[in-house]
Amino acid sequence: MWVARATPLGGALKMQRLLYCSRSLLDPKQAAGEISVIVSESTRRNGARGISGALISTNRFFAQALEGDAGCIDQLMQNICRDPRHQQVTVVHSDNINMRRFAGWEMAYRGDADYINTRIKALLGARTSSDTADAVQHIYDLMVEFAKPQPSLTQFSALPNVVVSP
Amino acid sequence: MKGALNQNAVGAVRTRPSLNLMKVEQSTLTPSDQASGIGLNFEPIELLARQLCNVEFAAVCLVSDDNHVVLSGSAREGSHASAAETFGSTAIHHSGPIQFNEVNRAPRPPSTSFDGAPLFCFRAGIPVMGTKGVPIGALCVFNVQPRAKSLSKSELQSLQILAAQVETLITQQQAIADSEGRLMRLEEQAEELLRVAEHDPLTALPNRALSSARLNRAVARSIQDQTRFALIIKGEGKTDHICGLPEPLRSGVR
Repeated sequence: MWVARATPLGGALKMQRLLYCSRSLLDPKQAAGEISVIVSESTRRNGARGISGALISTNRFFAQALEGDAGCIDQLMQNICRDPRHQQVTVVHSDNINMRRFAGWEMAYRGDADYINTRIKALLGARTSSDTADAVQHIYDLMVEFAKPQPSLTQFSALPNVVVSP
Repeated sequence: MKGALNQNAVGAVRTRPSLNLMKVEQSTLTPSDQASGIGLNFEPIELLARQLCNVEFAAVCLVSDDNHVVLSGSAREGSHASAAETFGSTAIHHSGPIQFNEVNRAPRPPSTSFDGAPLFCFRAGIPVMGTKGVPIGALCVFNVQPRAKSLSKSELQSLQILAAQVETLITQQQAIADSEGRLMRLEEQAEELLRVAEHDPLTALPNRALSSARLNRAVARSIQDQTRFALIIKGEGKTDHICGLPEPLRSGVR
């Protein structure tokens, strides 16, 4: 949960968390190689700027969460918007933060799950932020879960059954 | 070293007022014992004390949290221990260095030491003061036979320096114990906060936050592993009020 994962931000800089979605223009056959380049560049560049976050990439869409100094993120977003490997770059959420949810920058998911495509497509098509609040939160939650080490089957099955309070 | 003192003893020996000795294994030490310095290895200091003062035995005596005197190091076991503890109690509560050199008294056989009387003809001690100015132990040296001379001024100064080292070690141990205690309390508070955040205060049942977190985990894993999972919700009434269920999943509810 939030409390356990959050990491304090240092200094008095204005910190921001942002989530954008976009449509991929990568050829699915060559996407794997391109994504490797993106991951390599992003890990190096974002680490140097103190930017944390996570990237989801499918054959059709991108979704990326970014956290860090607002100025650095703004500058990064300008570069991202100019990147020819995607289009319809849409910032679906942006807010000032005091705590990070992501310890570093990670490639959270690479695949073509319908579940992910459906949610990103819905975010790109939404008209107001109130329509997307739950969906944005769900994408953040999934990114955090994707970035976590996978529990073994034993650990997973050992979780107690959840009984939801009425 | 020869005689009854066991250099290889593991753990501390706690002496009760009755002078019965009891072994305390390291794993059974309480946090307050550890904060008192019990469990620390003082043998290097004791070795130096023996060499500098040219005596047979050296021991660090500590006051435990429950006001018992605990022997450490080379005086942990054996028939000399009770005599060392007896003198240690005296040295701890003395205002400064103390020494006795009974040149005219023959040493008693070990069997007579259980009455608490001094076994050693020569014994000297330096109190170890805590940060609050309260005595927390003493560094003591012993000889079964009397020494030709009492400890010189320079030998006493050396002993005082070693006693200061004992104090430093204990102070560091207390700081570590304090930090560990604070960390433990913070972890407990974090766990409690998480429990409160994830459970209904009235029924103590998991709430929406916990069910959402578990569901997110299951969804994420099924996507990554390309596997399926089942969510079983048991209850009465409509299913459209189910908390925290992502919309794509709601359509699959039967």
